[in-house]
Amino acid sequence: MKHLRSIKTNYYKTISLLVFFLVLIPKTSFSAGPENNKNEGFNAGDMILHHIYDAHEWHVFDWKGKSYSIPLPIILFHKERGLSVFMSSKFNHGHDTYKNYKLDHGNVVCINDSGELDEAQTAKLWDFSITKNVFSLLFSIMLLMIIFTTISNRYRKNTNQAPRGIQSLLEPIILFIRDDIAKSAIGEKDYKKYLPFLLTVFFFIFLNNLLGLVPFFPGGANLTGNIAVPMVMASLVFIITTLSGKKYYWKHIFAMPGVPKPVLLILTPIEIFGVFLKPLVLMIRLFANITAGHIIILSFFSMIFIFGEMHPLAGYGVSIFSGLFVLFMMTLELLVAFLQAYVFTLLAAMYFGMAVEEH
Amino acid sequence: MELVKPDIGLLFWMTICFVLLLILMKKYAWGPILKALNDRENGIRDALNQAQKARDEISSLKENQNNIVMEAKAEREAIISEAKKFVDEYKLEQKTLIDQEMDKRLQSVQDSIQKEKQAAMDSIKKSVASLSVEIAEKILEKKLESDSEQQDLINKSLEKLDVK
Repeated sequence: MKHLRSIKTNYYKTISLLVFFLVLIPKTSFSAGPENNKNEGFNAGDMILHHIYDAHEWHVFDWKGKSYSIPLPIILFHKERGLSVFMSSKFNHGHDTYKNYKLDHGNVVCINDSGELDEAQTAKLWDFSITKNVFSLLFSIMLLMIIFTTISNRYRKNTNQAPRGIQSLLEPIILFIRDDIAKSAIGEKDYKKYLPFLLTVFFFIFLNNLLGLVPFFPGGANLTGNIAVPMVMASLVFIITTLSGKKYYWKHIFAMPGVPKPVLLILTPIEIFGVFLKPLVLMIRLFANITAGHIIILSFFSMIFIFGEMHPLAGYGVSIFSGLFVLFMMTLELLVAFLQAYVFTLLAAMYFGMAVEEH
Repeated sequence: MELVKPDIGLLFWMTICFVLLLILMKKYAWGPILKALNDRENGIRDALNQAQKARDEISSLKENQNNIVMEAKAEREAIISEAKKFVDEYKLEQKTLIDQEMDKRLQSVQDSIQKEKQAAMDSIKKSVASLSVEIAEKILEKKLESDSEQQDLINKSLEKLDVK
């Protein structure tokens, strides 16, 4: 009976997911764009950057020269014209203008009445659109909430029992972060305060790194490889470190004990610079690693088309090696996905540990 | 350059969503999960401690039990040996009593035998005397011819008497 019910709920879940897509597709008019311009030839750099950058629509696939994509909501705030919300399908893949707005290389810009780019007006524009990355962000947050409230409920129901299912998959990671990152880097006394942040950061980065490796919808957005995302997390690390800094921490920055006064004149600026440098490095490390991983994988794919343009047979031949290389890189990226999440969490924990250190 | 230029929209959404995620996860996920993990660890530790305690208790109980058994055994030994001693004493006592009684009885039997013997002797003596008188009468009646014949007769008569 119980099994039957779980099958049923799974069935309903699948159905509702399908309905979600079916509703999404026709309504948002999986709009077929005009034919791609074939004359230009394949440009690997453009293709790679297109995949790494954010976008206002979610490109799903090309079929018979037409590109099919899911339109996403565009939310614009202009200092004079006010708020305007509409679907990106109005732009027709950047071919049409709407309310004097236009898509220019993936960015929304203002145009004047004669249809030319208006720089002055564009400067007054704030783009809060639900872009591909924002959508991916919301999706991953939803996924995280579902996964962790599910296992949290399971913990609440089966107290003092061995973990089951996804619980037993995630419990070792949670324990690893608690014991080997938080406890060892921050110390027995203070680690509890920072643990929820560290766990959230870890699973957020890990999940989004993994989703970034999924080549099709709803994965594939380069979220953790977009500088804004690590920037927010690194800023939070910076804020928390600064706010929880104790006497010992500040003393070591402004007046390192046991260092002669003249040396302090050099050392103190370096230390102050270091306070800002630490989160900066944290941000750049994550951003660069993930973006680089995407670029490498996409480069190997590009090789197929570059050789394919020379001769179709060359394309087929290269595709074997490219495929193998991509397979290898994907495996490596799976490791990197975990490693970068781990490194970010560990370094954040170490910064917190430095801030609360006492003697 | 666009690669390292943060997008204001994404920054805005990321800040809001991530802070929201932090709050929600802390409240609905990490709080209960970490508490449950902690509780479970404490539970396991307590259970182990309790098991150790129970084991200690059992071993002490066993020792106690052994002591009790030993004591009971010793007591049994003591009781048995006491009983044996008592029995021996009793036997001895009874034996002396019986011996004494036997002696008494033997004495009385001997006494009565002696008396009977005496009585028999007396009666024999009387009989001899009366017999002697009779013989003497017979001899006198016969008028004995000679002294030697008289002597013979007397001897013969005496032999016949056979008194002891």
